[in-house]
Formats: sequence, structure tokens, C-alpha cells
Amino acid sequence: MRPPTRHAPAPLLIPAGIGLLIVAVPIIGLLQRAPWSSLAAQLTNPAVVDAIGVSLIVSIVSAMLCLLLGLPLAWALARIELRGGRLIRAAVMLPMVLPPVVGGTALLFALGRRGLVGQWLDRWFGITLPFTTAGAILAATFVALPFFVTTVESALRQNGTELEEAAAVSGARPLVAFLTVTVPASRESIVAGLALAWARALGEFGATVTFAGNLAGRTRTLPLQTFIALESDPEAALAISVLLLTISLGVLVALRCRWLVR
Amino acid sequence: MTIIVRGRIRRGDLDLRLDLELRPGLTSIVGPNGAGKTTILRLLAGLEALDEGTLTVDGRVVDSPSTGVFVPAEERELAMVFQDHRLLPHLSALDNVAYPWRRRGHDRSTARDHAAAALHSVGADALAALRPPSLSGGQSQRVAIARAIAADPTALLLDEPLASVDPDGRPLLRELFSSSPATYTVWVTHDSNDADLADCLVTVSAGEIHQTEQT
Repeated sequence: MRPPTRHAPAPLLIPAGIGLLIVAVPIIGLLQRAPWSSLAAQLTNPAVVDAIGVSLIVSIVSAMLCLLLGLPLAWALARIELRGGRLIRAAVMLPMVLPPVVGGTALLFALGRRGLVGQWLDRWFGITLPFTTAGAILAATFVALPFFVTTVESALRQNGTELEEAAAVSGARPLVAFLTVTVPASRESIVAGLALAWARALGEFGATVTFAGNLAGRTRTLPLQTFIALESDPEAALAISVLLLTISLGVLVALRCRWLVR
Repeated sequence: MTIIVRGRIRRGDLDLRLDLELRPGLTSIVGPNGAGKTTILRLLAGLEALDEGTLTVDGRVVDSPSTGVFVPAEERELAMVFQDHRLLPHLSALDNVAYPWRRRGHDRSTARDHAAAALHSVGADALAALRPPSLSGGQSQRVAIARAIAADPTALLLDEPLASVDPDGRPLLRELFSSSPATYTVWVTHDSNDADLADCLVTVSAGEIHQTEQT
């Protein structure tokens, strides 16, 4: 016989319920106020279409940068034993806990026209990052990269070096082993990390507005458009919020259901 | 034609002093768990490096810490069957077996033909299309053996290669190892019957290593 179900203690259930409400109430409020009948019209408004375009470019390029730079970085963190390894890992993870506006400020003073690196970019290559789409991409990558790196690094650690050794005795040089064994064997985590990084890049606000500003058609992404619309056109703000909420839920569900892999 | 290991390797509790001369043919390594049998194979494979001494294969120094020489595994022309098989989970059994040939620059179809023959020689034709996660322990081990054989190595390194193969399947594989075209076949085993097949027996125990030629 199964033992009778034990009653959950109220001192646990009550705060648990309040916690759930804190998350659920705003979402329900948003959905309840959303302009469902004019949603299509709101989202095809030229200003919103521009913002969707900027957001797609910024978030997709940023996710690709996370893949191209983050995969080798995750590999290096997982496989190379360094004396200051912990410190380096902490530095890579910093944007996850850093207020985005601080990240944006740091980017501005490092890569701004008079910044540490920015002055040379400007003088030698004529490259200016602040207030450009490239700057918005950089800001989004700054905040999104750690999500990709942590996800993939922990998978690489968990998978260990066994398969890479098997590849080595089969005649694979380290780079070939990385591409033909390490990457495909970790592809689930790579896809998951990519989805997280993309979603984070899509939602980026603080670092973007600080470093790249708020220029329509160039750096004004959906979150920035939402913030602007709140003052002038709350319905538009609600419509964009519903769109972003749907995308976020989609990413979450896809990750949970592993739709993204196989 | 000899593999000569003279030196020392320390890994954690293990402190092995090696003085071995392996001649072409079948060498068995026996000894209790944790004595360092696998470490010797990994040393030959280039997955571990000597702390002192020299490892020479057919007159070529491949590991010599004092002179800074270390030839990595991928340049040693060998194949190894790991105790835990280590098949690549994203490839079919056939492509696992084809992997070493692909790495030597053969095109996919040549490598697959070669791999199919190797799978056949271990009695695993039926497994070609399966992915490792759906293979049993014994099946994985056969595929791992096929992968090592298909590499056409100079040295074939086997770490308990029959441990998870069912008893009925063992005679075929034993025969395969003792008639292996590899110049050197080094076989770590627990089974004294297997050890008897060898031309040379290496006994590892408590850091002591003894080598006896068998007739």
C-alpha cells in the first residue's frame, strides 16, 4: 500500500505561493491588458518593424559571435589548466551579475572614441562603435556571451577528455578532434547555450542604451522601442511586450522539450 | 624492431619504474587492479608522458623528457581499444570504425568499405548502422576492436578487450589478436588463458615490472 500523502507544511506553501504570484501576476496583467484586436497593426507599425529588424540583426549576429568566440573560450576554460583559471572564469561570468548599465558604461570608456581601445580603432581604422549597430551588437554580445560559455563549458567538463583521447589515438590532431568529436558530441549544449545567448541578446536594454544609444533603425531594438512607446503609446508597448514574451516562452519551451535538438 | 621503455612515471599513488623491451608479436600485460597496466598502455599510446627516461619505437625516440621530445598520440601510428570503448556517440558504428581512416585522408566511401570489412572480421556486420548509445557493452567492445583493427596500426594496444564480450564471441577475437598484422600487439588482460597466448608476458605488481619471454 502507498503511504498516505503527507500534507505540505503551510510555512512552506504560503511563501512558495507568493513567490509564484510575483512571477505570474505581471505576466497575467500584461496578457490581460494586451491589445489583442490591434496586435497585428501595432506590430506592423513602421517604427516597430524597424525595431524588429534591428533586434533580429543585433541578436542573431550577437548569437553567432557567441558561437564563434564562446565555443573556443568554453573549450579553453574547460581544458587548459591555468594558475589564474578561477579568476579568468569569474571575469568571463561577470556580465551575468553586473548591472547592464555598468557594462555599457565600461564599454563606452573602453571602446568610445576616446576610450582605451576606441581611440586607436578610430585613429587607425576609422572605426567608431558607440551609437552604431555594431556597438549594439557588441553590447548584446557582452551580456550574452557568459550564458553561452557557462552552458558549453560545463558540458565539456562533464563529457571529459575520453572521446578526445580516442580521437587522438585514431590519428586526429587536436583541432580536428575538436571539430569532429568535441563539437558534435556536445551539440545539445551548444544549441542550448546558443538559444539562451540569443534570448539574452534579444532582451538586452541597459548596456545597449548606454553604449549604443537609442537611434531609430540603427540601435533602437525592441526593448528600447518598448521603453519609448510606454510614454507615448502604451498599446504599442504592450504589443511588443507580448511579442518578446512569446519569443522568450518559445525558447524556454523549446529548451525544455529539446525541440532544438534532433 | 623493438619498443624500448626505460624510465619512470608517477601518477597519484602510482610510481612505475619501467624497463621493458617489447619485440614484434603479442605481449600480454597482467597484474592486479590499480597496478598500472593501463598507464603502461597510455604511455605507449602517447596519452601519458614519462617523468624520466626514454621511450623508443623502432629506433625512434618518441618520449624523452630530458631532451624535450614528445610525439603526440596522433603521430604514433597506433590504435587503442579502451576499456570503456569510447565510441563516438554521434556517429554510426560503421563511421566510428571508418574514423581512423578518414583521419588519414581517405575519402568517405573508401573508409567505409574498409570499415565494413573490419566490422565483418569481428562478427559485427549487423551493427553497422547503429549508434553507440543503442549498443550493448559487448557490441560496443566489438565495434571498438573493429575501429582499432581498421586503423592498420603499427602497434595495437588492447585494454581488457574481451571484458564485456560474451564468452561465445571470445575465441574469434582471440584469434584476431594473435594473428594481428600489427607489428606489436600489447594486450592488458586479467585472464591467464589469454596471457598464455602471448609471446611475451609482462607482470605488473606494486610498481615492480617483470618481463618473461614465452615459448
